[in-house]
Amino acid sequence: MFKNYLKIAFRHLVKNKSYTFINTLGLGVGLAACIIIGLWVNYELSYDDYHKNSEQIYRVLNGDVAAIPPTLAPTFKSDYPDLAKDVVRFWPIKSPSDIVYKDKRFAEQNITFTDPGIFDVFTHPMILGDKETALSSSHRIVISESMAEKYFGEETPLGKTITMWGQNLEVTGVFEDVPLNSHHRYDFLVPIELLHTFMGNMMENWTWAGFYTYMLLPENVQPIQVETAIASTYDKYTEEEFPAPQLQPLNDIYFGSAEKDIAITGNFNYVFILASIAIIVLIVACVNFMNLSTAYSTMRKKEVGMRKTLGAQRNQLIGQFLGEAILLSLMGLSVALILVEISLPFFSNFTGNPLAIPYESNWGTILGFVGLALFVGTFSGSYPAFFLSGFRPIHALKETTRTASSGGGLRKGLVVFQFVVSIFLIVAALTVYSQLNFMQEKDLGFSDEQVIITGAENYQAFKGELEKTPGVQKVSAAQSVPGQRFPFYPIRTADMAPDSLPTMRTLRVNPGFIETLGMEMTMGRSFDEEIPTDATQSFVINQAAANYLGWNDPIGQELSWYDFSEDGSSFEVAKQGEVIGVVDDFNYASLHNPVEPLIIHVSQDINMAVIKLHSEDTGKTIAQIKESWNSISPGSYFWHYFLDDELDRQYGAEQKLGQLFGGLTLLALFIACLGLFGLTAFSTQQRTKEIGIRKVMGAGVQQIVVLLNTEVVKMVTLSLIIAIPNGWQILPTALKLASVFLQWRA
Amino acid sequence: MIKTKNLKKVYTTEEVETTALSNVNLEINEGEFVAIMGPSGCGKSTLLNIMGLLDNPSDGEYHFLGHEISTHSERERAQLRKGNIGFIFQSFNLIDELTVFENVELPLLYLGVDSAERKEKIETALDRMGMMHRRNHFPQQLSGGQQQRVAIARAVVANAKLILADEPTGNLDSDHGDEVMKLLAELNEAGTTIVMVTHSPHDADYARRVIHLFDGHVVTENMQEGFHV
Repeated sequence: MFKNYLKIAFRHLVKNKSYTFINTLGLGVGLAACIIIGLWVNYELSYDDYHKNSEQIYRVLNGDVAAIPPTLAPTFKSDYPDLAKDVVRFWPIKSPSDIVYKDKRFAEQNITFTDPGIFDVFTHPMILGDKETALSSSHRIVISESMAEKYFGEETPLGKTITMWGQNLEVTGVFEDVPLNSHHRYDFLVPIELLHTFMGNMMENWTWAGFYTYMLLPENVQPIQVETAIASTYDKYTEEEFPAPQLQPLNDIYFGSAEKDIAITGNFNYVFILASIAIIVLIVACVNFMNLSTAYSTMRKKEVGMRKTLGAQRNQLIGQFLGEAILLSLMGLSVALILVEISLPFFSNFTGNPLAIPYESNWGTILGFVGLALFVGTFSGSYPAFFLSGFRPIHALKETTRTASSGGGLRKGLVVFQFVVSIFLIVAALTVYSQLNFMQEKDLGFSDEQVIITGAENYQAFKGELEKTPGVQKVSAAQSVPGQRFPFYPIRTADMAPDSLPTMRTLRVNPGFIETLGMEMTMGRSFDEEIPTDATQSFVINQAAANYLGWNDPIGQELSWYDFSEDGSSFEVAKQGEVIGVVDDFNYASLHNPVEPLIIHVSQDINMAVIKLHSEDTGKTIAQIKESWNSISPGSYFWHYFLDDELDRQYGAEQKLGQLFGGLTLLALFIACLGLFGLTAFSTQQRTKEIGIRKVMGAGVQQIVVLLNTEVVKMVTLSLIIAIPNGWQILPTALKLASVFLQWRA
Repeated sequence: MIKTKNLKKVYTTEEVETTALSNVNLEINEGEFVAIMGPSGCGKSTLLNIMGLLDNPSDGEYHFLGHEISTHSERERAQLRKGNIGFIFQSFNLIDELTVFENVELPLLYLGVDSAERKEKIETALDRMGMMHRRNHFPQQLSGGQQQRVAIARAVVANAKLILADEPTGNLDSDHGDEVMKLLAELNEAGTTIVMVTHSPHDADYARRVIHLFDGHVVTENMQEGFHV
């Protein structure tokens, strides 16, 4: 019997080629979109779960803040040995540092100070060296596989000496590169013990919140117990008021970034939105299938009638037609897998995630795909199967009854549904684009146009040359520029408690910086080169800082700013002075985040020159600037970038979301149109006789075209009427759903 | 074999109520060859559909092989139909996507006959209808007469006790029509009960008994004297 079903299904598919083509292509495209987005979602959700202990690893937060004092880990370990198997700290270096081996010297980003227990808590398989001893004394360093290759090539790295921060460190291990789906990035692991050499008794300080602390809990310990124990530890050892400690599960870090986070973070909203759209695209493809199958059912009427006459039960017929739907969906799956293979490299490149179909890893993947095809076949085939098997034999065998028109109302409803969904998606995509546009066009609080950033070697001489260049409007310099993370330093005001030392983001600049970037002063004045005290005892703060410090009239308020002491052993007052001005809040980080309090002061500790150009002939001006650079700092590489380009790049994730959104929307629309085309072609075929009669009665081609298209125009118009007024609500609703889903997942 | 008592069938649409059959009382015994005649719309096909368990009467009783089936569900009727009743239609109703062999195979598939036995039965039936050489053809590749012979093969392949034929020669020329009627007569000779609806007095001559219907009533029942053999 099964063979009979299969035969008839194949012959039916071969006979109705356009029907088969439209359905296979529609389902194929829908499934391909679903598989690709599914792989991406799976990748996003897989962050950090490659660690064997991932279920038992937690990061300690103080309230919402990820950076905590270095003292917690050793204190907790000795006071509560039963509550944590191990506690590991990370102190990632924030700016590039030189790593030197013989004649090789590179500025490296991914250097982290950590505790020896890192290899017990996290899963980083060692290729060379012993994980027990690799970080057991201060002057050691463990490097990643790719760094071993970069610095040592064919040589064995073990026992070699690397220089960092003027210290000679012995390479004692090589670990496998950290997978890309990790919220950590490190290529060099250095013992925290070495940090004691630089920081001295700062390492015993409960106010220096700069360490990321992870705990591996025994299975019988609940996070709440640990949270309570941490709170008691704070109470016991420090007067400092910390917000309530929290344990954040390792697997939640990627989607749940904290304050002062260094982790690589993702956006769960994007995952949710794209997954939803992919499912919608698939549903639109399934609806095509339902519509075309029921329309084409006229052709199967006689078969159904005859089978029933010969004794077939309804459930046998349902089984037969469901089987056909599944067959078609398996064909769609084959098309989908081909499409996925073709497009996956581009998609991986686009998202930056190394995606691949894990065929080799297990049968589970293949079973998963087949399961998907079975589900899609059953879902889309169920209505046609019930519809077809419901024909009564005596009616089915009479040639006169027309089934094409029965079920027509539902069919039209489904077409309208498809177009409503597609138009919703278009509207939502437009919302994303306009949001993106808003971010890019929004007044940042400073002018990033025609501003280039270059190095600041021999700055004073360089500046002198630049000021003589006709294409240059203004020149200044700073340690960091908007778009970079401004570092935190402790500050204190007169009204603060003696032992309190809050940190605040700090920007060190040369006079003229505020003017060069066209920022607005809301109170007081900015730095003036002519006033010597501006360089030694003056601060400008932003409006957010004024609010944070509770100052209505900040001008003249006293402020102390702290830096590491000479020997690095503690923080000490590095500058004391008064606030001379308040700058209006400018978005120095990202429009995703509110503007944080900021303190600006004059320093010669600068890294970058900030140059505002006149708008005409910037190419020529940059060539002149390069010439000046080369004459002043010969042999030094001239690099530069446009500030606005760099800031636009911050919205790369949104841009990608917008593009993916747009792409999926087009797919949905394409599939819906394909289905409508199939239906129209079918109904035209069915109406051949009617068209003939009308032509005999004198209808012209134009009238026939109008006749055939009226229905389509009506359905699309109705879809527009339903979708457009409501479309704008979709995205906010989706985002709300996403947040609910995220909470539920946590 | 078949017995009806005050059989009534009313079709109701939104606007009109049409009585297709009223008070039909009939008895057909095993081995009979009965022709039902009458003008278009007199209820012939309705009667045949009820006899074939494709439809339920609105009122009255219908006994088939000792079962009173006027209240049977569709599932029960399908069960009783399988293997007991073979159908022959004016428009043949072969499934276009299946070959001759596969079309004849269908009733056996629904009866759950195993493959070796199926093959044997199909070959016997096709042989009997002289269609063996066309076994791998599709219906569209055959003439009308050939298609009807395949349909007869399909009706007899499961050894149905009753064959219901609805104007079996209606779409055929007279030569092919005669061929088909001869085949039916042979089947009847061999013991199969046949009930046939026809417009053609010539075809009705093959039957032993002719029932005339008019406006849903049985008007006359004649025993044929010199029917064809």
